Amino acid sequence: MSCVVGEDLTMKDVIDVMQLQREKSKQAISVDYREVENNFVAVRFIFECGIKLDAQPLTIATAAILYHRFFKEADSSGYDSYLIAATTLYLAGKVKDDPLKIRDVINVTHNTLNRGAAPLELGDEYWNMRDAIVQAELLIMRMLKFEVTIVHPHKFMLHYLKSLEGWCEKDDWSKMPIAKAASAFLQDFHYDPAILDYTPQHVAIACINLALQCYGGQVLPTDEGEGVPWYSVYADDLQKDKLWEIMEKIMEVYNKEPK
Amino acid sequence: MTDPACMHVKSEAMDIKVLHKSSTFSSFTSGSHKIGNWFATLSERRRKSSMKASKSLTLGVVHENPRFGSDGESEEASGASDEVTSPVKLRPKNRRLSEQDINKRLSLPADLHLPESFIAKQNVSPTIDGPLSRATRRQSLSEIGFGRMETYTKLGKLGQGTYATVFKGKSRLTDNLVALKEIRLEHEEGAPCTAIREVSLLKELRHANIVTLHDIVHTEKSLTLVFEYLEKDLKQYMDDCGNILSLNNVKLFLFQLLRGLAYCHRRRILHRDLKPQNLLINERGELKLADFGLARAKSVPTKTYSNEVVTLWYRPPDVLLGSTEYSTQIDMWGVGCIFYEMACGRPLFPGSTVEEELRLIFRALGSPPADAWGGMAASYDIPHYQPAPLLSWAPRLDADAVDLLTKFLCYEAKKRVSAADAMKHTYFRSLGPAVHKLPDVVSIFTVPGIQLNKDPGYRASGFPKSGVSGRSRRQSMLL
Repeated sequence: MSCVVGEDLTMKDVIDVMQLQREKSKQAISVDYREVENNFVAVRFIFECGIKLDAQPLTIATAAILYHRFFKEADSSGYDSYLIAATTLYLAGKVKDDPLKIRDVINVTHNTLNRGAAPLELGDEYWNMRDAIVQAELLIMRMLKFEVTIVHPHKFMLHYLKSLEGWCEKDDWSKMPIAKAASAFLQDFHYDPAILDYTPQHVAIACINLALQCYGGQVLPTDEGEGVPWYSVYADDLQKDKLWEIMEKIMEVYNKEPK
Repeated sequence: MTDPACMHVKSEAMDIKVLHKSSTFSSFTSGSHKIGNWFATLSERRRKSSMKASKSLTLGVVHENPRFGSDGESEEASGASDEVTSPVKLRPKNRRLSEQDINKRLSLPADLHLPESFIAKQNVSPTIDGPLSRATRRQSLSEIGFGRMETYTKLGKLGQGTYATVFKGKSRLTDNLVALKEIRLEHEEGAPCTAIREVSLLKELRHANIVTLHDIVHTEKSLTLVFEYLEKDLKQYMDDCGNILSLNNVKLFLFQLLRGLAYCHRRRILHRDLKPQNLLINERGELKLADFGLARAKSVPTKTYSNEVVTLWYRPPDVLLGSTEYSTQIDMWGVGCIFYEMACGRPLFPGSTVEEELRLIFRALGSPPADAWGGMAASYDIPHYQPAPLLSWAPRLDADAVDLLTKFLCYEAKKRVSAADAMKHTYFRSLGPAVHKLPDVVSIFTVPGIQLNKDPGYRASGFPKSGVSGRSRRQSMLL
């Protein structure tokens, strides 16, 4: 933002920012997945389709993790990222016992890629897609050595937040949407394969700590001040450097978002 | 980082607004849209990817799974496989490789029969002196025969379930017997989710009292899980000794059951389908848990599970009454029932309907307090029963055993003894302290003095040594 000259200008700038955000979110709505193909957009595709399919949040998170793990093993130029994305979503439904019908997955993914297209007829095209997904499902499982059970940061985060809530002054806690922000950070971190590099516990702590930093809440002893930081109760193996490294990775996600 | 508030808005916009708005499928109308545009590219790529996949079926490039090799023994080596240097390095260059060298190099068990063609190939291979890369190793394992159906000879059918058929088989590599659980791949919905969950769970579990998964073979039409073969299940074992087991054996089986279960529960995995048919026993007396088709990693404690889980006889009353929130304690009731059945030679509560099952339970243990299970029992018309003293219906059990049994058969799930605590019960004191200090993968029969006794009612026909003689009686495993 340009430097502030007077009060009026400040106001104007603020409005501009809001305008910018509105435009940005408008643009984001009409992501044309056929135009761009990279892992970030593919995970967005997973989230979009997952929400349309009314999948549980943890199912969608599983799909995102499976997607990243697959492309950690495989060369991304060899596979259609949207086929893999659709398949991880379908597979995640089975892993999390949140079954998604293959027909629904095909219809939703097809329509999300080809916005405005009519639903697929039960023809060759549909059968081909179904075969592709069924085949890709086994391919993914084999690539991941059939290890498709995932330990999520979510439950750790919930547990940490619950006990932090009891620790804080009630007024301080309710003033700041820490839980909401931390959850948003956690969900967004799933866009980045870096999430694979850290333990679920550490990711959960980093999301909460980032939220605390954002709101400048001095409700808890942070690692800025003296004494024992709040998170040491939950993870005694987490050093400050590591924590800030994860927090930076989370922030980087927002730079990777396509403009 | 600039403005925290702004960032938060951004993240919300990304997650929620975008996705909700677009979820309306707003523009169905555009007739000019080329349907299948995506699919054209997709199927083209698909051809590429399926080519990869089918190539891998023969080359095993995608059999990313050195760990499955060889009866689990290569597992330790697989992590370090990149550092493995060839043992032939120190020897004259032109020396021909023996099977032993190759076994060592690939960290395989010594009893493998390597195909001639494979050994020949290893001898001409120029990379033999260099360190082994993961991909080469994987490929080597596949060429030896891991992950391939030709490696296993089917000997006979052991049983059939809704989604799998179990065959007795033999590995051509080790000559060991194996159990082949063949899962049909539904063309409609791909691999069944029970199979996916079972495989992913079993991959995490390595324990002397849990059946070992040796290999996974994936062909176009089926997914086959290759398990170690155990001669019989507990049900057959009890039948074969006329339902009179030596009390020493009862103790050993119960301890092993608890040991396997404690390991699962520690990893927050419930079995949810304990019954004698799912407990496999080999000649040595080692008992192993099988059939994790219904088990699931317990992710969130509050999550409700489907009500239809455990075979009626081993089902706890809270579940019978419709409780869907259960934890590791759900398995412990079944342990109590199995304990009783082993010691007394008959099932404890053989009810055929929910009502009958509940009646049998309440008749033996007394009516539950009115407020039990959040009043769930109130909707049933329960006659008033006085608890019968356990000793009267379990005459073979001593006081310690009865005390332990009572702790399993506790109405209130939270008060049921855990598997880990049950192992420390005085009933097991006679086994000595060593059985508690074993590493996970070591059998309790390695402890001196721990051995199976001859069962009083044992008939000679017990363990079919080979072939199909045991076939018809073996219905239950892994189905």
